[in-house]
Amino acid sequence: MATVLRQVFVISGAIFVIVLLALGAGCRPATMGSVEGRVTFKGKPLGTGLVVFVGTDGHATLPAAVEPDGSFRIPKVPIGVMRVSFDNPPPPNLPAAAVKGVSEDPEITVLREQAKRFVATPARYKDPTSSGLSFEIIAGVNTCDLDLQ
Amino acid sequence: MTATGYYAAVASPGWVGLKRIGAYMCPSDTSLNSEGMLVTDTNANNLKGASYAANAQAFTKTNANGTIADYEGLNQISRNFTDGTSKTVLFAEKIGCCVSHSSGGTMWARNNLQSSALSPHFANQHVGPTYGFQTGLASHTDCTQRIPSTFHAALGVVLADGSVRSVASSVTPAVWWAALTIAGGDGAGTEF
Repeated sequence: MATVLRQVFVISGAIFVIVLLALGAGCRPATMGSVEGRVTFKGKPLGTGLVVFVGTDGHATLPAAVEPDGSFRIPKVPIGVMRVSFDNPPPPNLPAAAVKGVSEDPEITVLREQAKRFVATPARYKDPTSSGLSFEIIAGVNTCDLDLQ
Repeated sequence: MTATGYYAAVASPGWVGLKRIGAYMCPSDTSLNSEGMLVTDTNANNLKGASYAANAQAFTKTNANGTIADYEGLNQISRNFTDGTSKTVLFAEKIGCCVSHSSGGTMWARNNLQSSALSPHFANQHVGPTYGFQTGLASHTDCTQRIPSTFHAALGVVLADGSVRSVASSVTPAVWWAALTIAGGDGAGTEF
């Protein structure tokens, strides 16, 4: 009988701890948000480039590619004030156009399209400490439009 | 004329780039199939994949800001690696198929477009102290192209002194960049 009671006590204790942990996890404040927006240069959407958000501790988000319509999205960004880097390197040198009737390397086809959209932007936007771009991320979905001049 | 794959500049049945090389494939890199193909690829005549890539900053000639001036770098450790060798990265993990074979990954013999997102090197296009690396991938579809990536919790690298180590995900992009440059005067320091 004493053994059974001890087992019941241990199992009840374990369940109590699990419930406490679950409640604790539920009450924990969010540490991440997401951000989406559009990059424009002198009012016109850009169709190339990369956006990175950099925290004051030096940690950075993964780079987000700017889509042909100028939009970008970063699914995980730490909450707080972040500096923003916009890198827009010129298109690479590409091989001559494919011979008629021969399928072209798909990646080169994509890069040719990107090259057509490329518009040079000031290099200062690449360095987050001099870009002048910053944004406070809060929990949930954030909208951050970047209008470069 | 033999059938050619999209990603083969010189494709013939015996061409080396079409070979699977097991030593270039990490067993836990599920973005490559057993034939060495990128998992989204169905064209057996395309180049085969790898799980590792070279640091373009170490193997090319670069401008002061890290952009590539000449892919034929001709660097020598004794002459050009002024940041030292024990904290300078030569190779790192970079998964074989990053999202899809038409957009990114690592083809070990990709040679017709050096700036490719599929070439076996990194820090060639994404250069500077804001670009880090990606660890703990759950799927190749979560991958970000052109930067080192791994399914492991930490990134495996080979350093210029020949040693191998894991780099924790907590390392900042600025410290990582210091470990990629060979003569930046910016030794990666104790954080690396």
